[in-house]
Amino acid sequence: MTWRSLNILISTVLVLGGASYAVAINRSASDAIFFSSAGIGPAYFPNILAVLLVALSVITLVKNLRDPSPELASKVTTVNSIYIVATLVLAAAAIAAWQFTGYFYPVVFILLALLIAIFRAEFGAMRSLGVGVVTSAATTLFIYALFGRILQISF
Amino acid sequence: METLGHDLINLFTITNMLCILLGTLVGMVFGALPGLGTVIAVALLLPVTFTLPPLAGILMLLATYQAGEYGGSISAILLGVPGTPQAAATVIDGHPMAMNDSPGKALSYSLLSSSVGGIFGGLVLIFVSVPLAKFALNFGSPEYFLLGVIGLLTVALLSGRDKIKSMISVVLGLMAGTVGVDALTGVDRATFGQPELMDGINLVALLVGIFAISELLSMISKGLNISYVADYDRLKTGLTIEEMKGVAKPTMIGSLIGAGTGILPGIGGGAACWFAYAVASKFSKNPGAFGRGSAEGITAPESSNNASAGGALVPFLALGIPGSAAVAIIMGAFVMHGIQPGPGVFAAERDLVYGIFYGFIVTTVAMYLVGRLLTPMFARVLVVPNSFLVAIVLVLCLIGIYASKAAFFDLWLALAIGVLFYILKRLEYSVSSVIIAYVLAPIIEENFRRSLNLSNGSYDIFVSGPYSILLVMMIFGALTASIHGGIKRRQNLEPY
Repeated sequence: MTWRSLNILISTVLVLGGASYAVAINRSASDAIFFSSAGIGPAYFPNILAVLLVALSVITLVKNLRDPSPELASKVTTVNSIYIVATLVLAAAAIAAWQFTGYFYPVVFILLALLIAIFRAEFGAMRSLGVGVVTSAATTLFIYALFGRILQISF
Repeated sequence: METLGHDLINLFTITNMLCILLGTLVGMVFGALPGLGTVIAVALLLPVTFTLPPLAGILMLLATYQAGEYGGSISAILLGVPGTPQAAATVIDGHPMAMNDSPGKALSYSLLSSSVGGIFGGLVLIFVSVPLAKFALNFGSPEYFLLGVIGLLTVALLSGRDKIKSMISVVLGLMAGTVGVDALTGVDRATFGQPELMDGINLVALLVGIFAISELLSMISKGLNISYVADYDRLKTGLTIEEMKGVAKPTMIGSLIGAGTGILPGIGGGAACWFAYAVASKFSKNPGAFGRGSAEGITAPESSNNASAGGALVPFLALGIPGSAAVAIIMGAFVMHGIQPGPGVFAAERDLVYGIFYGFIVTTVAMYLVGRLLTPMFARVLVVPNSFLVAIVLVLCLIGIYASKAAFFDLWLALAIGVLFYILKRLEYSVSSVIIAYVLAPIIEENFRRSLNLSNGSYDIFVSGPYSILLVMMIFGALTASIHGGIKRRQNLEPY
């Protein structure tokens, strides 16, 4: 994907987002509009924002289509993209596990150990896993002592 | 003097002092670590403030803000990598001095000038806020709406290279601020049937998503196992009286510029440090030394970024307009404690306001003392590679979000916002504009609707009084200057 394509994609998403925001606002606020004085109901200001967002996004869209600069034609590259995806997947899995099992500290321990092991994979699988487990255990204990015992926050 | 008549006993409590110490330590560590920075530190500490008395919580955030400004110079000087954007100009002379002369001396110059800048910013805060707030009591709803628009406009026009994208960021922030039950009619807006959105988007989830999670993804892109190497042996060096006298002029120049630019919304320490550096080199007796390890080149930008912190609190406290992302988060702490910044807060929360005035000076003193004692320790934190930092900070993000409302929905929301803003930041959308617009949205909308209801829907109300006319002229002036600047830049770029 080029920078131009990404810009166009995001501008299109913003246009659609502005439109769906306006629809959602007007649907939920439709009754109140009739009861507000001078027609300045709960949808008035959001509608202005939706129009502004759509207009500004269309301007960006057109600017991108007309801009001949070579930077926009270059490909979007993301260094370490595999690690970014792994981080997001592990974070999502950890939140889901925490939400459905209710076990916070074991989830934190596993999340930290896996993240550190993956991030340090270049130093060897066993070694990085060992470093991950030790660091994770120490950090989880610190979190438990600080948040669980001292601040008495229950997770 | 009215300002000096405050009972200081309320300030010097054990809770307040411990909070200032904690904020200073966290701010210095996060400021020193390239990539993390002040805003993330303030955002992560925000949930902690909910359980504290308002003054203690706000002082903790102010201490973090102040210490983060100095912390950014530690990595700028030792590694040549600024910990925060506000320390970018410090690299030019700080790093050469650390390499050629003494890293300890360079850090001492930075700490001294940061402290002087912080005190100067605090004095500006004390002596400018009160008259400005008194003047603002003349304002009605139309003027408040216009003031909010000016704040957003300056932030949008100054915070990014692409003005249209910055304006889109402002609109996105305002939209995010309208989600939830409407305060005037009780109608729910854009909640998409989610009960967790009835109270609006959780500020902590939004902040952590925008600033922390998106930044952690950027840090992964920059490299996970970078090992920094610096000279840690000569960090403990003081300054002689002669050396202090030698940097008095650039420190004052930096302090003046920092406080002045801090007052203007959207400019902040990031621009102030470059401006101060340029002016200090112009007025220096030895301009040739700039760029080669000049002490003046360290002190001017460092004093400016701390002075700008005090300056940025002036429009925030007096008018309710946050000038920077960090101040917008501090405004979030106010709102969560049920306190609305602005001229009314001087009467309604007198103890709190004066506690903040003097507390700001105390945070500067704490920064100096902690910096003197513990800078060598903070410098050693720099060797921690991103592989550990990213994992640990990610877990702290999850804890911070959950601790604020105990809602899993907010964790998912923050993750989604983090991914979205990682992409938007790469496309040069302005993240600071989003958060400032988000916290200003209720004030702007409420005053906008109130004004139009008073005038039966007529927009004439926004040009009906002398102050509102002046504010409208300022809006048009800012827009005209921005358009003129854009045309000029385009003409300079076009080939003949």
